[in-house]
Amino acid sequence: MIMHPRERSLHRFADGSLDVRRRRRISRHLSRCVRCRATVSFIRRLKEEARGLPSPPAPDLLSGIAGRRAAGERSIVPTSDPVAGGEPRLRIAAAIVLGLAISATTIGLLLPAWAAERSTLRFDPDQPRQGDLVRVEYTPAGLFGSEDRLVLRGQFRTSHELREQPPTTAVAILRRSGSRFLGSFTLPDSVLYATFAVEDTGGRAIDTNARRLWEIMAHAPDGRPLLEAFRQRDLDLQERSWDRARATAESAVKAYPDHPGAWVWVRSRQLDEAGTDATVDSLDELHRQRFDQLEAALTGDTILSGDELAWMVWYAAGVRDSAAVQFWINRLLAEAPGHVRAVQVKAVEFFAAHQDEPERLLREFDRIWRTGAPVHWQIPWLAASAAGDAQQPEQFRRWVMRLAEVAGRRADLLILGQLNDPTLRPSAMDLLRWRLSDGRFGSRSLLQTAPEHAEAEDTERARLLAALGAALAAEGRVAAAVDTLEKAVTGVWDPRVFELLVQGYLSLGDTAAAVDFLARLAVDPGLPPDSADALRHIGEAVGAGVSWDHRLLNARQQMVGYTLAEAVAEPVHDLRLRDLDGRRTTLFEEAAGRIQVVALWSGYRGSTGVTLEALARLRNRLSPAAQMLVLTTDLTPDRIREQLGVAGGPPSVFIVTRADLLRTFHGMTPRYFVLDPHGRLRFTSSREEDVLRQVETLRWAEAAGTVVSGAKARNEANP
Amino acid sequence: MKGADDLVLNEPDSLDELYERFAPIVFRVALRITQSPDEAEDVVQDVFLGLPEVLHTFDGRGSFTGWIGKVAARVSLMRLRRVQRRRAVLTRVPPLRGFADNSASIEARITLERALGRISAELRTVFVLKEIEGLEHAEIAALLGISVSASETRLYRARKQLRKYMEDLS
Repeated sequence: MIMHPRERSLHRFADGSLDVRRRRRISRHLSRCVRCRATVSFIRRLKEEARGLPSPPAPDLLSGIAGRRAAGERSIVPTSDPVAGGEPRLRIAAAIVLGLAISATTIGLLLPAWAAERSTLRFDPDQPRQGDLVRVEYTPAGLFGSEDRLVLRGQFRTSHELREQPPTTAVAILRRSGSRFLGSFTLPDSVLYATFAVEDTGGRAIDTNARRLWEIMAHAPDGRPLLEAFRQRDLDLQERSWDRARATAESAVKAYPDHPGAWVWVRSRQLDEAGTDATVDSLDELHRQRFDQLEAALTGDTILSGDELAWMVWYAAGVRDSAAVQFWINRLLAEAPGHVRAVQVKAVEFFAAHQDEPERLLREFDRIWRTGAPVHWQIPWLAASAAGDAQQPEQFRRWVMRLAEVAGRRADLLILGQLNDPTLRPSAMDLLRWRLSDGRFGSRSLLQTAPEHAEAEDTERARLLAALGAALAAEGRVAAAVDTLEKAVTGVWDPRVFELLVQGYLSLGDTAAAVDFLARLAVDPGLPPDSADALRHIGEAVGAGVSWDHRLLNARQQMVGYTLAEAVAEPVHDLRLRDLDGRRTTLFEEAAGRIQVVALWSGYRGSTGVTLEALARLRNRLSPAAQMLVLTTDLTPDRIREQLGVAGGPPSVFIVTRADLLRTFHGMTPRYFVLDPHGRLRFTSSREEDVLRQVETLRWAEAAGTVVSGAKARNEANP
Repeated sequence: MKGADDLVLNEPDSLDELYERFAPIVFRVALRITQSPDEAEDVVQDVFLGLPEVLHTFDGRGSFTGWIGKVAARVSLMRLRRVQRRRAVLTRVPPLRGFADNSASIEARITLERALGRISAELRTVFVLKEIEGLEHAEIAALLGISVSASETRLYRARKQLRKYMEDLS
């Protein structure tokens, strides 16, 4: 039996870095081993090809660079290597400054874009109808000084917008005419509501009108915005500005007082901000009366559109009249059977009736899909879930791919959920690979520059790669798992991935690589303290070559770098708060110049929400440089005290109105918001571990006196 | 043409000449590390916007070409931490220039370029710095803040992965 040299030795042989004795020994082996000779041959060829790769011609950027230098712009060029010891704090601060200064220089160019004095964008006509030619006149304020052309980028929302997030597109080219830019486009027949931003041709400088965007609502011949235009505007604004979303619903009711849809929307907004049971009760009564009036007007021989019928179903459900719900469902199915909501209702009913008969369920959903009619994402979601529960890998794959066409993120959630099932894991892993190669992780939003979108996509890709790597590890394919996880870890800071890599590298015998990831784990403040200590001991014992302290230093630099890249910089409205004794205060008054972790807690969320115990645990682990404020909207002081007594030990709990909370944070899903000492929102998280890391990073940056400006940093005012 | 060191030591503000001589090096290093022509252009801008002010820090040890190559690598790595794009290389392979019309070598070059785009940024960076830019492991380790053995290990793994991908691509 032939004994082969280690492959590392063959590489060193090809590099010419072996001593004479070992070189001779390997030469003798190569004279009779084809396999090892092929390896050495490949490495030599690779080195030669690498050296022979041509230098691409440098781009012609000199005039631009000279112009910027003439305008006083400078970057800070790193001329020394990373820290190797000495005074860690100052050097890390310097490294951060160097890294961020370059970023800040780039971002400094873009700040005028986002902090624009108000540019103006005019549409003519300003109340277009579908199919109209719309002329555009854009006047920038202090931005796009040297551009001859700009891009008007838009997002079009159509009727029954069924996609998770409609794509954005370049709608028109705007050409310079003096101090203005002019262009035109045709409002497509199907578009009800559109929002716009203006950007340069590279997508790097963007004017979002201070994040308000510009907008068009399609109008009817009588001059009113189309009802569904109100609806799409309401949906679009819910994530951006709760106040404006509510105002939209109220405008819809004024413009269309006899349409049930408008009442359904305004009811939702009113209930969102209803703070007390008494308010909810009076709203319920008001809407009950309104529903009865509408029903009286619409029942009988009146011919109703599919939309009106569908909204009556929803309004009936909102006022909790089950008999009316069934009545209007029957009318919808009889009079508008092809309407997207009718199809959705039938599908949900069929699912409820036959969820124990997966074959029959999947046949029916397949029939619906093959009609080619617009289908709500809920249908492929239900079908994929049914196939997963029935452990039918092929059907699961088929329906996940269909779901991904309309709701990519939901498809990813389904795939990730199946990775723990050994029967479905191979199929789920194939789907992950397909999603990764497909590369579609959502269209660039109007508020994102092209680089930011690329970064968001890379983060998403890294998340899927991490899941795939973990699945490979679960399958026992260690080398493949390590390779995949290495790709994942370049895009994100994820301790779960580091842990898997440590295990994988130790299995493969690569101690040096394992120690690097041990160091990353050891510096992550999200790790339980006793685990961190244990890791340090292991690292000191196993670490080879570079000292463990040096590794920790580098790991901390990396953690700060990754975390800062996630940071935003959004001003927030001050919040009116009341403590349990009724004392009135505000968010900024309580902040007292410290880093704030604002946690949303609901007494009614049960197991789906964050518990007081978890909040107390997090509060105890926070750095003294930070404080936690727990906000709640749905409990009285006595109920809160009762729950605090059970939990043992209070975080600071304040009561806030739902309206104020929505206005500030645009949502109430239990989560954490991290604000810097200057009152700006920097991070939004749903995990304790991430919060601890973000707070630690902010603390470092503040202590170093640096500007925290990640790739998403903005300094624009809220509307 | 003046030597690079003369340029640096005697005429620190000659941006035009600096650019003409060294922009290709900066762009090459940046492109190989970031695998993105757009990002590489940004690196070129970032370097030359500040280069005249730091020329005095070149202490004359080693070549100026090597020094500016390392500057380019540092800026590229900072950028790489924020934007990782491997797909660009698949659509924008740098144009061929000055090669003999040898279809086998063209094919090999394209295969290598594509394989480089498929390995992780950490491995690719060490491969580029060692095999293309000619740095020693000690220099690479200092640049990346890793040990010499880690640099050797990454090169080894890069070659293994490149071999696998190049065989797949072929």
